[in-house]
Amino acid sequence: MIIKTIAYNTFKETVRDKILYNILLFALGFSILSGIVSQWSLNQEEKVLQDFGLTIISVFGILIAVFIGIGLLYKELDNRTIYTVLSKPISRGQFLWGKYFGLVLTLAVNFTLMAAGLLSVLWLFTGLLKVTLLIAVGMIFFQMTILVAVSLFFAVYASPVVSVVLTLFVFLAGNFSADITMLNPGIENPLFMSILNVLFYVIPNFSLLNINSQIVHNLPLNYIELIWSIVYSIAYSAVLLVFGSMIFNRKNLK
Amino acid sequence: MIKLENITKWYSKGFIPKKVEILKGVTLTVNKGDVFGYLGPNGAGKTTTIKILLNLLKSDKGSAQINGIDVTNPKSRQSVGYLPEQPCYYDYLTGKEFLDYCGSLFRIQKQSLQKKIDELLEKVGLENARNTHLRKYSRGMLQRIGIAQALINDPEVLILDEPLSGLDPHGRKDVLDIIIEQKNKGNTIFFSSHILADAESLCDKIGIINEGVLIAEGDIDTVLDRESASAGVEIVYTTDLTGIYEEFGKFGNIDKLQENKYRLTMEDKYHVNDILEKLISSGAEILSVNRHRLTLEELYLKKIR
Repeated sequence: MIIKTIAYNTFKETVRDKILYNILLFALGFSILSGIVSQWSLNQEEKVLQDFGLTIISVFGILIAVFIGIGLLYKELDNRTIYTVLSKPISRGQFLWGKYFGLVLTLAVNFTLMAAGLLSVLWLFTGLLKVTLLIAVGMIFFQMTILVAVSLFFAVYASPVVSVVLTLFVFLAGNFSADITMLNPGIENPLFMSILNVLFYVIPNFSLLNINSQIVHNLPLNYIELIWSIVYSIAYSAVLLVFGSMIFNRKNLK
Repeated sequence: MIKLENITKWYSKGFIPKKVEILKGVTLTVNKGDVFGYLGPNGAGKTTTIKILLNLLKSDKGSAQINGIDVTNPKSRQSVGYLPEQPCYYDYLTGKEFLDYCGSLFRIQKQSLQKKIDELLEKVGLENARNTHLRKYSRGMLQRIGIAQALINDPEVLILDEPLSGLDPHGRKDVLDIIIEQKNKGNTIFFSSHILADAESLCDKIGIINEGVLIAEGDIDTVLDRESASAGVEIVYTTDLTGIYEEFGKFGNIDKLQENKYRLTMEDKYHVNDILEKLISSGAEILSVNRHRLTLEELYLKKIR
């Protein structure tokens, strides 16, 4: 109930924030641009447009997850609106979870709009109505839910700039974390190997949730694997938020 | 009831962190129904104490409780209303939406919450601004909506941080009326202030804090009587003799009340009988002899030097 109240208020804040509309307008602009650019590719219009479209959704998803996520928490602390909320009978954990779900709701609405935009642009420029693209968009959405948790985890104790840098670093590292296992056979130093193994488990594995090329190239999907990837993203976010709440609980709000 | 026991708080300051003690073992109790004025200059530790009571800051030593529940437990804030020093609220919400949000955080039922919101908006004179975004509110209006949110849960304990600062006379009167109304309801009020006249008229109890140390605390009359014990004696007398003014000026302050009527506020180091004898032998007529009672302002200035 309390988490729902905070989540709804967070969603309201993002909806009434002009930045979100700017991001959405840019996303729409880029989608149309990708439609125009795809016309120059020889017999590859559909694939180029899908690739381009999914990349745009990822980039704008990152912008929402990282910048709005960190910005919202920072604003609460900087404007001291958090005093009014935390002086009520709620825990800091409930506050953080509320913020998280509010941001996830914002992402869900935006992803719905961006997905609709992508399908429309694809249909307009190529006449193709490819509903399976929604699965790829959905998996990007789950990547972003992890990224929101990462950005809130850093934002509870670090400055906004440091939080943005660290979150983007985790995102980049998380996209290459699967490569760590491939490096293993070539490494002889056991200490270095242990560090790599720890990193593999600590850094979120975003590549698990990236099925863009399979969708674009119409390759078969392993749905069981997809479900486990979604479970992984939920579990990872939950663990991170539990740790984030513990840190936030010890923070002095000056 | 509010109870603070040996509350100590440090901050680290500077590039090479240096520990600065903001609160030095503050112990105080505010009983149910008391109106407690927490007084002190800027930087004395008033807001820090309030933030510890609301668990916004963690004390480094000691314990704090509200209604017998440790302040680290969110349940301790179930019957607390809080007005922050700076009215910083969600400017994208309207007055009504803001109160709705605050009430929901107390898990108040939707129907009774709507009724309460209407009642509070009327009480603080914002019924016409209910659908206006808070970003368009003036400083006084923000203070009023702040008071409304502090009362949304019918609190048994009100914690008000400088509730009268930055308000025009009309706004001050309204806020004072609300505090008096809460006092008459038997609610506990803990408020910090610089404005001593208001504190003197409202409070049953006071605490004066300076540099993190509680230097005076207790029932306002008891504290003033206790501190007045060393404040000297007032002798009111009449005389038409010239020169007597200068002669007795060395024993204390002489104020001319009327033509030929004077008040000597005498320091305690002199013996009253000796001075009275001297006055009578100089031809003065003694009208009254009283122990001087300090005002809250005099006490405050005496303590905070």
